[in-house]
Amino acid sequence: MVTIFKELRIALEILRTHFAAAREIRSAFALQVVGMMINNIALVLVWIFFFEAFGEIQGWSSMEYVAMLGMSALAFGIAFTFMSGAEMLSEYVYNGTLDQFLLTPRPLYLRILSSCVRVSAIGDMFFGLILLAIYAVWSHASLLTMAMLLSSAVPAALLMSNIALATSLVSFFIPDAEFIAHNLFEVFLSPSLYPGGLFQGALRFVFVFIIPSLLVGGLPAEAAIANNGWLYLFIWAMAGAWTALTLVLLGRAVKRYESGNLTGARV
Amino acid sequence: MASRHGSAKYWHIFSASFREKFDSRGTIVTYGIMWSVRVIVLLLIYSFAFRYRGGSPVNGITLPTALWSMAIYFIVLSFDIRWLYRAISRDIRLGTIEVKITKPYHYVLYHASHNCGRGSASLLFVLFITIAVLPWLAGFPPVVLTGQIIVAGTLLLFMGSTIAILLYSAIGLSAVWLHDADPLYWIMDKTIMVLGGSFVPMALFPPSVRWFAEHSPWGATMFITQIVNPDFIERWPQLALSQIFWVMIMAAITGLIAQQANKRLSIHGG
Repeated sequence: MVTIFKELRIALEILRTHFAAAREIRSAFALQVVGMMINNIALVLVWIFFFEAFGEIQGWSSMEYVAMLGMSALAFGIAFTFMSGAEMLSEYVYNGTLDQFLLTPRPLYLRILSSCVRVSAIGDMFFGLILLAIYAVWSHASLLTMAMLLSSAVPAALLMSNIALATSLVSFFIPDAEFIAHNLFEVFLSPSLYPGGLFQGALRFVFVFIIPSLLVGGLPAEAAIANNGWLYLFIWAMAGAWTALTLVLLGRAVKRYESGNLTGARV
Repeated sequence: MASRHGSAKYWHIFSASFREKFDSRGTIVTYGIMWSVRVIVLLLIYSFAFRYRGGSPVNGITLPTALWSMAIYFIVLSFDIRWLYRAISRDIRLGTIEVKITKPYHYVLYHASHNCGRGSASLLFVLFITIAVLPWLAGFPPVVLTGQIIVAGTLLLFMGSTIAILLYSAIGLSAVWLHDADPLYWIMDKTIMVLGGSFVPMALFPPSVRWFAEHSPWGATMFITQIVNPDFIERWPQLALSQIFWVMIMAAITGLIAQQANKRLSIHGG
């Protein structure tokens, strides 16, 4: 346990350095954060138009969607502010820069996750919090509901970063697979932004157990709104299972890695 | 190599980029798979929503119309015009624009031809998938393809693409003044996504939003999606007029931005 905390502390130190570097150009930093928040408004509008046209469907209206998108945005923000390295893995493999991670005496998994930060994801995080605050006021949500929503962001963020890492592993098997890895992650991400209540039957099964998109937005929102403790525990269990699976897959995939023999200054 | 004049050189760039992209069949197939997943998920979601409403038309449109409209949006999206922004802003950040603007071609048209050429390979593939698969899954939209509809559709597609090229070029050129123009690009891209009818067709918008979409440059980029609407034949001249207006306005604005950007490049050049 002491070792885990020590490794997490080192990962946080690395992230702090990345943040300090990103903040150097203050105007660009602020523009990225604010720009992403404005950009996300589009998604809310799209589905508000949808519910305006169709009315309430399976207990889902604009209000539930606001909670769901708030949840997804918060999870995405946490995942890619603090664990953005997951989506960069295919680039590291292609460029040969993975060597530097393999040579450090730190756990490879944490080293990859903390290898960079995405500034715009801070905007996603703020946007998610704003939407959840709007939902709390709009629906007169109870404290329990809000506590469940906010705490679900942790397993949801873990899921997102693990799926991003798992899809990046394709680059160990196919050369120059950045595009493929990116698109595989998109297949997971896009449905996580659609209203969860519209996924029924076999579609729901697929997007919970095979492509776990519903676990990062739809199901946490449903669990919190209905105060369903079992569903809430299920989300945590699935996040744990995907973390374990990603660790196993990373261990296997990295055995196929051959050094890129990249030479150059590393600061 | 023999010198090429006028539009011939842009056609050459277009076809060379098309062939280059066509050789990366793995990328095209991956894109096609991702495109299919997206459309199939939307198909299932909308099927459920229409069933939930008893299968009756919503805002005057049926399930096949809604699905074809969104599928057309994603087909046009695969044309890769949006990547024009990335190409221009990358040139500005790296400084390679200073070399490219001295070449005997129009800088923006060069990138537009290059991106459209690459995009056409993906576009043809997803068009093939759509025509082969969507009628089986969603049925045909209630529209008879007459000569007039084909001509009107081609015109709206061409002018919509021109507006998109001008919009994305203007944002790309703004990188001359901004350290990072990405946030402007995201906002522009998402505005087109909302008003162009990506996940919700324009016909399903509330009336005031639909009016705004049909009178804004962002909505105008995707008027082609309305080709499957039952009232398209009566409405296309009005849509075309709106597009002509925005082509002129955006050409003037982008031209002005390009002129000012060129001056700034001259000052900092070397």
